[in-house]
Parts: sequence; C-alpha cells; structure tokens
Amino acid sequence: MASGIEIAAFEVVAGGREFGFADLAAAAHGVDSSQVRSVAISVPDGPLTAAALLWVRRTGLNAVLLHADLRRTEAEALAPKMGCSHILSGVADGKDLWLTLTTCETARQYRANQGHGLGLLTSGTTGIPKLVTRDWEALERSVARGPQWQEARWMSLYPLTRFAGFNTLLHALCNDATLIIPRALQPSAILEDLCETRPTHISGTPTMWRNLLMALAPGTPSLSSLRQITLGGEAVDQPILNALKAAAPQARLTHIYASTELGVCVAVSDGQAGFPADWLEDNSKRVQLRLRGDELWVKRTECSIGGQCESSEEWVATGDLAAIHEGRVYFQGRRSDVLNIGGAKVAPAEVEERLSEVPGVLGARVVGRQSSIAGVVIVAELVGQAGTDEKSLRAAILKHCRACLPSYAVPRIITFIDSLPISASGKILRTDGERTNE
Amino acid sequence: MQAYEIIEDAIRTILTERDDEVPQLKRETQISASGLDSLDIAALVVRLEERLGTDPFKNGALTRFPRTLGELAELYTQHSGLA
Repeated sequence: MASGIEIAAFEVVAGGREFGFADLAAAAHGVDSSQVRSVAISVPDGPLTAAALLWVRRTGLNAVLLHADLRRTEAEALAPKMGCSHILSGVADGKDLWLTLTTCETARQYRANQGHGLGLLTSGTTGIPKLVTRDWEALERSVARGPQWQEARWMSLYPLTRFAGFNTLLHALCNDATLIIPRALQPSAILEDLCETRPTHISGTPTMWRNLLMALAPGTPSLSSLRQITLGGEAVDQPILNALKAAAPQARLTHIYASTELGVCVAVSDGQAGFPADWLEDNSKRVQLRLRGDELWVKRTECSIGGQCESSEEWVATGDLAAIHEGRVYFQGRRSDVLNIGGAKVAPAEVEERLSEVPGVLGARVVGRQSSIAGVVIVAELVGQAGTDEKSLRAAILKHCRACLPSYAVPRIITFIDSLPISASGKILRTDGERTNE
Repeated sequence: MQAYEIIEDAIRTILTERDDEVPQLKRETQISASGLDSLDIAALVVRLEERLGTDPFKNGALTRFPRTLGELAELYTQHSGLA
C-alpha cells in the first residue's frame, strides 16, 4: 500500500556529496520486507534517514522513526516496546549507503498494526518518549505542494528524527525536491554549508538563529540564497525576527507553533512576533486554539493520528504560556520553565526578550539559580556584540530591565558567555546541572 | 583581600551597576541598611560563593542569622578559612 505521490527526483545533499533518488533507493537493495510486521528505524542522522523512510514508504510497512542519538542497545530495548518486530539500521561509507534488517530478539506478541503509519517520538527529555503515529497518506496531505517548490532546496537545522526535522524532510520529499543536511550543527559549519549548498528554505529554532547570526561576519553572502526562513520549537520574539529581516531581507519569515502530537498549529508570516488574537476564536482552523488563564489549550478537529481519534474532541493543555497584548497573542515559554521568585512567577522567555531589546545584546539566557537564603535568584547569561564594553552594557541592561519589568523579575546576576547552550532538538538549554531551578 | 573587604566590594558593585547610591558601609552597618533588598542579598550570597568558594547558609547549619556586615564577614571567615 504505497503512497500516492510520485517521487523520482528527490535527492539529499550531505557532507559535500549528492545522493540522488537512485542512490537512496539502492541503499535498501536486497532488504527483504516479507517477514516484517513493523519496523523501528535506527540510523544515523543523514542520507540514511531519507533512504530508510523511502523504503518504508515504498513497502507500505508500519514504522517507528527512533531518535538518531539512541545507542544501539537503547534502540534494541525500545523497538519491541513500540510494537516493532524488526530494526532497520544502516551504514554510510562515502557515497555508499547500506540498510540492514535485524529481528528484535525479545520474544513477545507484537501489536497487530494496521494501515501504513509512521511513528515519531516526542522530544520529551524524561522517561520513555511518547509515540505518535500518523498515517503516511495524512502526513503527505499535510504538505503544501506545487511546481514552484520543485526547484526548492530545503535545509533542516533540526535532527531529522525529531518532528521538526522530519517535517522538513517530508516537504522536500513530497515536492520531489532537494534536502540539505548540514555536516554539523555548529554555527561555523552551518554557515559554510549555507555558502556551499545554497538552500532556499531553512528551518531552525530562534536559539540556533541567534547563535548563527552571532557567528555571521557582516557582509558575507551566507544567507543570500534563502527565500523562506521558518522558525519554531521555542517562543519567537521580535528582536530575532528583526535581526533576520535585516540579515536576509529577501526571505519570507515564518514562525510556527507545532508539536509532534498536533503537527503545525499556528503559522505566522507577517514579520511580527505572536499571532492575531482573533485566531483564538476561529473554529475553522484544523487545530483550534484557546487561552485559558495564562496557558494555551488546543483541540484537534481532524483525526491526524492513524486509527486513534478518541482524543480529537478533547481540549488539551499545551504547557505553553501565552498572553494577549494589543490584539496579539504572545508566547511566554513553557510553564515548566517558570521561575518562582518569592511567590511571584517569572517566565524566562519574557525576560530574555527584554534583554534582547538592549542594543549590544546578541543573545540571552535566563536561568534560576537556587539560593540558600531566598529561593531562586534570576541569572542572566548574555552574549554581547564583539567589542562591547561589558560594564556599560551591564548598566544599560539593568536600566532597561528596571524600566520595563517588575523588580522581582530583574536579573540580579549578569554574566557574559560566548554562545547560547543548545539541546539536541536545537532549543535553548534551561538546565545546567546543580545550578538549575528544579 | 579579607572577607569583609570582599563583601563590601560586592555590595558596591551591585549598587553601582544599577546607578544606586552607595550608603556609607562599615562593619557595624546593618545588612538591611546596606541598600540591598532581599533578592539582592540572595544574589550577594551566590556571588560570594563564586568568589570565596563557600556558602555558609547552605545545609541549615546556621544557628544565628548575621545582622551586620561585620557578622556576615565573620561567618564567611569561619567557613572559608580566610584570615
């Protein structure tokens, strides 16, 4: 039961090599799907991910895409729990790609999987990640397709095995276009890849873009090929939108609010942070949105999860905080990130946005540091523009924060760092060992 | 530098960074009259831990909370082995 869209020209560019459709298809040469009930894909992030997905798409098998950073033993333990009878792994040697199928050793009754679904794991950092399965047909229907995108070159700054990265791959695949995979996710490596591979469409988190813009030498053409920049995964603030507009004026800027469970809920392309407040009452949207108290709730109006529609009528709390200001809804970070300062609640993302407004500040991270005598102290870690005097920047920051934030939300400790710490899914790291506010 | 000088320096830094007036600081100055609010004092303790490598308020071993800058300095001296 292969999917409907015809794919013939899809290719992957990675590590200075081009993998054409035939190369990707050849990776599965000799792989026998006849005994497979359901397969867990456990391959390194790269062209093998695309080759493996093409194979499960062609065979019509149920599959689960495991995170690429899982160790082999972890994948072997997880696969049977996800109902998989086999593991698809792979090796890349230069231009040659090989996929191999092995049986899961754990003997157990596999769930009877029906249809042609693809399971993705949520990026939850605690416990066993949650499996979200979607029908291939529904996945492909969710992608905008058109002749104007056949020449497009999509680059993902996310791992391909996370929803955001997979979604980028899916866009390139469904438009029979090109997917570019950066050789490494360090800012300098990405900037080099941008110059060499000339992507037209790129997806990443605001944190990644802050780090990239900090590493971007003025006047270099790294961003000149971009026609579309998509931001997601974290709250998007006005300073990063303005900075991107200045750095890549020819590109359309879109910021999205999405999750593995719900797909893309909100997409905004007007260059302004937040989204119009009247969307909260719009019942025609695929995912309906409401603000209950300070938290965003969502309701899916279409069964996008294969065979599991029971939750589609329910309103779900997202854990994401939002507030309405002058007709727009602004995200204020995760509820779990909120700092409790002597009983008052402070959203780190909001303080970070205020900090980013100060000229000379390129990036900011706000964390709570446990204090032995007064709960939590707000610490601001800043990346300053090269050549900025730290002392005067510190004074400017305190002045600005005291003017626009309540006293308890003003950072009491300000330190300078070289770059923003980043997690596997490209988001700003909010935990750093014993200093965290847990 | 002795604990008292380090503390006085840290308080001055906090106040001058945000353009606040620095009151006259002496060993006898009450902590509550040093110009710091309760969040500043918490931040001061974090900063002092970075500079002196110790936090005497941790682990609840404290029997009496210091009231003056001199008493605060004495507490750090006992814990950090500074003269």
